[in-house]
Amino acid sequence: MFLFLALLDSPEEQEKFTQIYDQYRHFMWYVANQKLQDEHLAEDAVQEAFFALTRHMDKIEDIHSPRTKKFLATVVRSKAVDILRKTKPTEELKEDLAAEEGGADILDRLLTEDNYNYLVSCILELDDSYRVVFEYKYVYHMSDGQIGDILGITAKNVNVRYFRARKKLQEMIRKEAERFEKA
Amino acid sequence: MKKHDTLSREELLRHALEECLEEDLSFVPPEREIARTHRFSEGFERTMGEYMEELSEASQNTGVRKHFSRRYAGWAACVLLFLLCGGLFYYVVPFPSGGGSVTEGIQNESGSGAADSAAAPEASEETVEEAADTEGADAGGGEPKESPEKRIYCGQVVYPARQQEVPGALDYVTVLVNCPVQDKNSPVLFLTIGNTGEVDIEYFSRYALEVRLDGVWYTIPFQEEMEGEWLALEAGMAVDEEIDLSGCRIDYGAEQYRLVACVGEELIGAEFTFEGAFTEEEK
Repeated sequence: MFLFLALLDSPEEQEKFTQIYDQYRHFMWYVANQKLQDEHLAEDAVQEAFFALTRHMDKIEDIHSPRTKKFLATVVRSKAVDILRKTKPTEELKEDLAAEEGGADILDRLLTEDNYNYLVSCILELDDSYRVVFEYKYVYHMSDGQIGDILGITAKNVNVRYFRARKKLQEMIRKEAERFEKA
Repeated sequence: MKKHDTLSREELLRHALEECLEEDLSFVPPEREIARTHRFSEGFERTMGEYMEELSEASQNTGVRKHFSRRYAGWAACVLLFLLCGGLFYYVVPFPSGGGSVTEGIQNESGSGAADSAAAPEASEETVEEAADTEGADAGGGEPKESPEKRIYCGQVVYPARQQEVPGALDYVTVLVNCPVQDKNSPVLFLTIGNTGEVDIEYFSRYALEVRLDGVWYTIPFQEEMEGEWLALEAGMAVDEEIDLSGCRIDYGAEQYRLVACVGEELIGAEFTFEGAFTEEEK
């Protein structure tokens, strides 16, 4: 117990944590409930998110900033994904298999300003289990180890999920571009 | 649309991700409005209340912790010595029925033979999976328990083990960890399963790690779900199973831990502790 509580040893950190809890718990529940469509599972996701947050308080600077709100949304969404994964493991398997079929990794080539609109619409459609990995990596600049700690998987598996996410996204962008070309 | 003319690929992706996040969050009503329509359950409030309390107590405890640890080191040494002697006595002195410990005497009710146990591995698989995967039990809703007595341990929710009384040996099988006092710097330990009976047995190669907190055994979830399969163990043979605990969140501060294995239809456990449990805390 002391191991993780030690991370919040300073009264300032504890105060910050309490403030975040008071200010955002309902918001986090709402985000989780959107994903899970189950009030009680959404509460579990919020709980897990706060436990995980204890170890990553350094990612939060200003409690009231929009960035903090976004970070909390990402954390609670990833916990909701984790709960979904446990309740419906076959869904994830199907998703993974689909991603495996994506071919070589050419996402970098597709990340152009011309494709920006496709990129946005594809990210909105992208499965949350992949999207949160992108968010942790690119928006919050977290290492695989840190991401793994929040997601409850190893750093190696974070990397696996990241590459699957890339393949999935590139496939979606390509299809989206083709669709617009035909239209 | 934001300006992204001179953005690198990575920045472009980050930009797009942020834009999507903003769009998603734009549909979320203000906190007050959500609070008006939603109330957290009592279980949630209670768990989070306890958690917050622990947080505030943690800073007060930091000063006391070292003193606490030293003061109890002698006491702990006595307990460990007692456990070691008990273990030696238990495993060295041959009991005709294999029963020796007090807890085992109380709960070794079934006493079924190895042949019976090996007959129904499927049912046992469920048992060990339930014991190992506590979160799944909660989320999946295997049993309609409304509020399991979960508690917080190392920043994770842990649930009471389905079977609190788990014997250390059965008539025909024993389990042992390589050392009753484990080195906390080494996350790998060995569980020896010995078939002391006269018929072959089957065991499931997935184990539950449990911690004893306030007299109750709780299952510690593995971060990575372990794969398991039914393996045969011939009569008179023993097998060493290597178990990596690095996938578990452990604080090493609890008095007792145990690894629970499923042999046939029965659960059987080997208790151990960590060498640093009563000395200095790591942090």
